[in-house]
Amino acid sequence: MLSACITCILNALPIVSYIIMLSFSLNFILYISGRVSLTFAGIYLVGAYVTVSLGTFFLGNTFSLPAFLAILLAVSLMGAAISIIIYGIFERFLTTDVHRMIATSSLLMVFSGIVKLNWGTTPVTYSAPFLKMGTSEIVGSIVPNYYLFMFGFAVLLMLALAYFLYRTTWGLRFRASSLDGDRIMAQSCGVNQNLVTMITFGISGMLASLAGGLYAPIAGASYGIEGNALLLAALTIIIGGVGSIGGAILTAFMIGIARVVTAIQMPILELAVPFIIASATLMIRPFGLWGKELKH
Amino acid sequence: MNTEAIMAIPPKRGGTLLWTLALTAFAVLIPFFISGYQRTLIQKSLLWIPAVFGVYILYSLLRQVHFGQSIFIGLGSYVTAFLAGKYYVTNELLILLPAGLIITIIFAYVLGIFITKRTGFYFAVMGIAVTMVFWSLVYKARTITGGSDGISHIKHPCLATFPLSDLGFYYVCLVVTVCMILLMQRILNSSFSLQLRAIAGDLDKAESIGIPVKRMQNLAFTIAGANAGVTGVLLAFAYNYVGPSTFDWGYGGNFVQSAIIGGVNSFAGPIVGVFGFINLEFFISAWFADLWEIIIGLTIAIIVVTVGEEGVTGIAQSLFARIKSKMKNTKESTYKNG
Repeated sequence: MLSACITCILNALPIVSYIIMLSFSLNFILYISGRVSLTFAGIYLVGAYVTVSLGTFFLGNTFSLPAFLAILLAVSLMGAAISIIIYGIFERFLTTDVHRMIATSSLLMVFSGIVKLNWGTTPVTYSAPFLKMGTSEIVGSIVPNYYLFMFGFAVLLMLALAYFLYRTTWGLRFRASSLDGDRIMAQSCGVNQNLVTMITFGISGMLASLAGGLYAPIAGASYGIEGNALLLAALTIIIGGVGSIGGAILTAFMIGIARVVTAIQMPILELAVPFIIASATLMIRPFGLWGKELKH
Repeated sequence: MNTEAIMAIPPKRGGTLLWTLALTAFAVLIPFFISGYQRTLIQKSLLWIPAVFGVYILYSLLRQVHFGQSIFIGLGSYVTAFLAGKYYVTNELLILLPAGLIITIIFAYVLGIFITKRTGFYFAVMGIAVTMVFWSLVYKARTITGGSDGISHIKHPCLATFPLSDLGFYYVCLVVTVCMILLMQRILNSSFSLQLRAIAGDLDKAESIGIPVKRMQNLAFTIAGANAGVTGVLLAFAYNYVGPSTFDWGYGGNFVQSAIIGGVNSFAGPIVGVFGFINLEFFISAWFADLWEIIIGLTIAIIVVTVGEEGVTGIAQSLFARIKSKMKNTKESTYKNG
């Protein structure tokens, strides 16, 4: 029984880290700048495809950890750049949440159109890191090392983000202009709101493209994966609440393990389970299990 | 909180009725002058109109985005496909339309309880989530729904036991659409619509003057779903095929995009928007088939960022108003000078 539980948890690790990064990519913008932006799903899609292309071009079937980390760094910088550019030339001018949602969901179509032009609609794969990293044994169950690497990467990122938000001066400025604080007050105290929002969008793009890059060796990149990413990230926010890193991680574990268990037991309900959890949460605690009632 | 929602005044009745009559006469006569393919395009536009009116009600009255219109289109289509195709029971439209309508209303009411629990981002996202859930259920239940192959070989419809030709079915679609438009106009002129506007303006104030907020929101959502159900039943016959892509949230997004092209502050918005969207789709896929998603996505994004929800009808209205005021000014100045 215990070993079965551990196997489930270990197999859920990649989807858990994927959900943590994606949901926080959306959550961060929502919490700090009070804006809704769905472009992160498009950046996730592009990140996955670019990682696959760079990986097959530079590494092929061989694998070396520093080179793979360098590719991930390049992909994350690209994601941040795309996010900041789109914010600067486009999203800055949108005034209400309804407009933001419609405009950014149309931008998602543009992203998938560009991907279709460049890479076509057949799925592409790059599984060398996943295969070459080997496996290890934890309490009797065998787990690929890549799962542990991905989970470690995601948790380290979240810890770094938490350190940045709660232990540095810049983090204080971010929290002052977030939904918890007071944006106008922060501005009148000398916090540059444009810069704060710009960096917020950059971090969000970085997280989204890293989620794509890290998950691509396991699942490959295919046309239309952004819908699933958007769905899981948004449902995590509904369940976990806005603006809590710990809540996001716990919710990711909840959804990830529930998905793995249902994928084994009754595959037909695999996508329905997160939705059922989210509906139940909305009925019991409309602001999320770990969320506060914010003036969003 | 949201003042422009209250600013939008309900449409006047007389002008709309005249326009409806003129356009209906046009749609009755047009099949005799065009080819069969163009007729199917017009038929598709006509069938999309009720579904877009569903989006329109939620957007213009409640200021919510409803990406989940494809749920109810899919439900209506699959009900038709089961009853008139796979498990053949009947192909009688007078039975199938009410059956599809009842099932979509039940589903819309139950889903509405969860979806309308919160507004804004959460409302839109729950709509997307439901479409994905239905898509995966239909995709994976291969033995019942045919999986990714979908269901084809739907019998031709018949109306009151008379089998319908393609042209006859076109006229049935036209009649249903016109009835739905008139019904929508009745709804938009009712006190129900004013209550929804009050809710969009300020939820807490609306609740404090005695409007049952949750029930009204759920009712609006159910009406939107019922509209899409009618569209779904007829679209299944029009395409003669139903597949899981009917539940795709991108397909539901197309209805939001149509409403945005047409504009949501005027009653003609959805009608103009549907014809605009389907023409755009036709011409782009004829000339640059690869660029379809990029062009339509950029178009919508630019429309939203420049004119917001005014759309084509809003631009036309403000142009007319400007011309009118200019003419008035010149008249006044000539009076002054003369």
